[in-house]
Amino acid sequence: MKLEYSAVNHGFSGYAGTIPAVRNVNLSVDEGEFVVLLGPSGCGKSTLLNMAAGFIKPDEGEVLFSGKEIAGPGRERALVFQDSALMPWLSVEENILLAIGNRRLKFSQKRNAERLANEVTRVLDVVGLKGFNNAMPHELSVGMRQKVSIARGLIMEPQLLLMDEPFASLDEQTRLRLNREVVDIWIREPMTILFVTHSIQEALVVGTRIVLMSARPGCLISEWKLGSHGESGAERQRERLESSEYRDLSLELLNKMELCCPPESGCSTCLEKTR
Amino acid sequence: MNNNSLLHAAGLVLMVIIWIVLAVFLRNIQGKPFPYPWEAVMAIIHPGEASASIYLHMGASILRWGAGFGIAAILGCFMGIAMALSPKTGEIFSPLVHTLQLIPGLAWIPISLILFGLGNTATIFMIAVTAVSPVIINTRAGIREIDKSLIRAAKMMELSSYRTFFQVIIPGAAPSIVGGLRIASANGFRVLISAEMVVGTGIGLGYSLLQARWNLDYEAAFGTVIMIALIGLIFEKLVFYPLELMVRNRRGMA
Ligand SMILES: Nc1ncnc2c1ncn2[C@@H]1O[C@H](COP(=O)(O)OP(=O)(O)OP(=O)(O)O)[C@@H](O)[C@H]1O
Ligand SMILES: [Mg+2]
Repeated sequence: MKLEYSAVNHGFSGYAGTIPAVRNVNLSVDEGEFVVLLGPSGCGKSTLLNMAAGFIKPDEGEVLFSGKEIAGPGRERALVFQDSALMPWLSVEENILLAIGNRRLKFSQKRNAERLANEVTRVLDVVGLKGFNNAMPHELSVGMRQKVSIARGLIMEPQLLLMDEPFASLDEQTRLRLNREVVDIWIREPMTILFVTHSIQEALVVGTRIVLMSARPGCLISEWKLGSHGESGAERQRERLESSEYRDLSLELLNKMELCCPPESGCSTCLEKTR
Repeated sequence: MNNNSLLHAAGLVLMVIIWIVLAVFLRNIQGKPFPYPWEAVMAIIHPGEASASIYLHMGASILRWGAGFGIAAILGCFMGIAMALSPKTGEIFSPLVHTLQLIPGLAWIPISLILFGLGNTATIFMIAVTAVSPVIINTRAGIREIDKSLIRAAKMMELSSYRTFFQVIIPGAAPSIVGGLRIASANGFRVLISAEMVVGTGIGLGYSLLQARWNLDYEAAFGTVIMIALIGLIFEKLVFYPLELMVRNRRGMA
């Protein structure tokens, strides 16, 4: 159940010609890890995530999941989109049910309906949206919509949960609260998470490992293992925000993010550093 | 809601007042036989012996319009879907459809007369051919403009192509499709009246309008115009308004 990027290169051709987006990315995410991919806007974080989700095939190199090359999207790799991507014409419950629609036929109709309702209630409870079954997406705040999107991912019982800047458009307070809740979900539900963000603070308070990407074309600059602090999201957040070690790390990340890879120098310098 | 209905009613009353003022002015100062609203309404209720009942005209018109619009709606949706789902098909037919949209309905008169002669079929053809392009264009645009991440979400959930089509693509494009049908219905209706004045066969609202002109029966002419407006209004309120509520309100579009 390992996710592996090996020697991945990718570019996009557009009006400005072919633009390299990610360069020589080698990364492996082990089962049960909570890895944070941190990097400035436009550095290719979504591109990497979309490769794991199966939406993009890398130009060069390969992306493996459980040792097999990823051929396309799959239910074992759920993606929480940057813009939540809920069907605006479906209620919260219907949106979540859509994700398990394919399994619907395997059970007898009535027992099935009950089981499905229970499952929906369970995932809504996990993300803290109990009782919002019949709300429409437009009636929810951005943060709540992201929670529904997470619930939709959870009900698929994925082995890998990919999250693309899920809380980027939220205020800091709400984001920190949702960060705690994501950690709680990860502690409760056994799965691997690859979490993309451009916020240093967010990167510091959630995962077990931070992988730093350079500006476009993105390559991996360096990584830090954080260890799994705390019994809960709240504990982890408090410990990390308060410790001086993490304050230093925060500064280091900031410096690295700014200094490494000025656009004109390309990527060669930091590649050598990583090796 | 209630407030809006009141405002709508106020608009109608205002229109009637303007009509009356205009009639008084035209009759007394210019001496033109401009009918009062009530005279027009009486002409609807008690048509002259010579002419068929206005209800017969109305029924014939509605049937023609329904047939033409129905054909346009079904054909247009199919074409629009095909053109959106297969880019090649889309590119092949796109110039054709956009050209079709530019041709005014009445320009089809000679062609429909050659093809079908005088009568129902010619009228229905003219309605269908002018109504079909907005349906095609809106259906295609609606599908093509569905948020890419919704399509990706469907792929991520591994929805079957059947489910993707009926539970993501069609509902996603629904507001645009309904908009297209609405334009098509209005286009078709306008062509209907004009077509009936030219290629109709002795029955229909357009024909009745023409007959009233020949007979210098201005009350009947105005009555027919009222009926035409009324049918349009009823359709708008009974068919498109609820349809639009269904596809827009549920997703919080104003
Ligand atoms: N469909 C596309 N066509 C052309 N260029 C693209 C496309 N998608 C991405 N790119 C380019 O690839 C680069 C990386 O894009 P990507 O979306 O992965 O960045 P990101 O790190 O997710 O940024 P953000 O934090 O803003 O979401 C961008 O600089 C962009 O110019
Ligand atoms: Mg992105």
